[in-house]
Amino acid sequence: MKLFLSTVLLSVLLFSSLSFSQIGVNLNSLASNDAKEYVKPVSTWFGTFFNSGTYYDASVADFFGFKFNLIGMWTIIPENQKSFNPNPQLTGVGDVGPTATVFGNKASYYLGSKGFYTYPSGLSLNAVPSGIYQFAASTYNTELLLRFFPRTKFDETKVGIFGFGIKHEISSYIPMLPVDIAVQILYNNFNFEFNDGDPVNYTKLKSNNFAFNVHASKTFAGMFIVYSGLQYESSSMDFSYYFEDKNNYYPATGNKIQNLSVDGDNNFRFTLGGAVKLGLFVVNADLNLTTLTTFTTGLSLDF
Amino acid sequence: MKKLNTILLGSLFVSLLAINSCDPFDELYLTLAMDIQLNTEGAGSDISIVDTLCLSEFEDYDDNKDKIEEIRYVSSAYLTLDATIGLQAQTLKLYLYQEDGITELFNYTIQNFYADSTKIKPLAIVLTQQEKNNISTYLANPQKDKCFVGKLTATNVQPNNTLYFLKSKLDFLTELKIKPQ
Repeated sequence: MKLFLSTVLLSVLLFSSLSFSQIGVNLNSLASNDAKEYVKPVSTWFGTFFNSGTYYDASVADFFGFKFNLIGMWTIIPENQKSFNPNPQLTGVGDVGPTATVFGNKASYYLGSKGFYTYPSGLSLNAVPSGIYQFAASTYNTELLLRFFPRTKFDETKVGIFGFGIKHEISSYIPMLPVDIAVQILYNNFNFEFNDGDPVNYTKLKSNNFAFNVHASKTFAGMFIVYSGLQYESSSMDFSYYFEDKNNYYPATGNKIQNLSVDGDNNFRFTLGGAVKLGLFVVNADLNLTTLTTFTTGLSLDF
Repeated sequence: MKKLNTILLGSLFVSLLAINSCDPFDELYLTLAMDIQLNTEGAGSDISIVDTLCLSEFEDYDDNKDKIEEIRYVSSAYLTLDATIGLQAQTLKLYLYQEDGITELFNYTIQNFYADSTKIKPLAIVLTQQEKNNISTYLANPQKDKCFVGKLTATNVQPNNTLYFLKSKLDFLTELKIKPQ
């Protein structure tokens, strides 16, 4: 079994605290058009993950403010993200039944000229738990949010994260408004590369995620916050892997590194949440209704 | 008191529902493709080839043996990998037996067999419900390794006056259902 790619895709879910089974995934055997559909939910997940947990209060300090947030997330994987209709594009092979995506569990198959080909199974996940940390500093009703993990090499693996957000409280221009309102723009980037010198094991992943939101909050008794927001978001992923064509069905593209560009299924989200301020600390939780419904909780140092 | 019990039971139900819905793992399935190689060379009007394989020869089975809940038969096929040009037989029969080599799981007959035609297109083997049940019953208790004996016989083989060869295989697919971690 190609444990290597299992490791890669599990590492992609690097924030997860789960201990996955050794079943993993084996997308080396997938031709590029099917591989694209197989990994597409990962791109969607990145878009959901990186564009979550970026606010709990629309009020932004006009003199100086600082936040450090630890955010936990629980992303539900719906049934429509667990399978796709494969298209092997081979003469003599008709319609193939739905097969698992990277998050799915039931693999399909077809009878080709060299015998049965079986599609890879997925990770069999109903949900993906994850987490991230971030810093934010603010002045003049404007906040700069940063997420950063320097590009670091661990043996043959390089990994790095960079993300930022800029938020501005527009309600500061409108006196006597009963709620605070802010707009925020976000960009997050994730890079992963594995290269042990063997092209069969080569894997590279670059995820780019963008979001823009308008959110509002209301603070009660100086410590209870209710917040909500609407967000437009998009995600794309460049993915390189080695396609191992054991049956030589694809002489033109087989046994070579494939470079894919995959857009995530991210568009809009609605967020509703609440937070409690306890001195310098804030605890918050929210629900995000989007392609992959996500619950987030946060613990923040906020002053 | 009755109201309190209702509240407690309701809370318990909601908690169980919440805990259950918080399990991140779905049921796991692996499709295991197995093949029995059936090769021969010689002369004569009849062919009989036998070969054996066991589940433990497959990494997917061996790695997950202790966690397998069920093994289900999915499909099977016959294909000729290579053969003497023009090799044909009046009847080709495929058999799959339990490891004792006696208890039959299924048999499949191909009349007017032409090796060249199954080289181009593998032959999907359609089993009866009884044959599928035979395999499922044999595959029960999946922690115990199971072996299969495949057999190919052919009669009235042509050309029978010269040396010929046949390289073929019996492919079959099973699905392993594995306990989530």
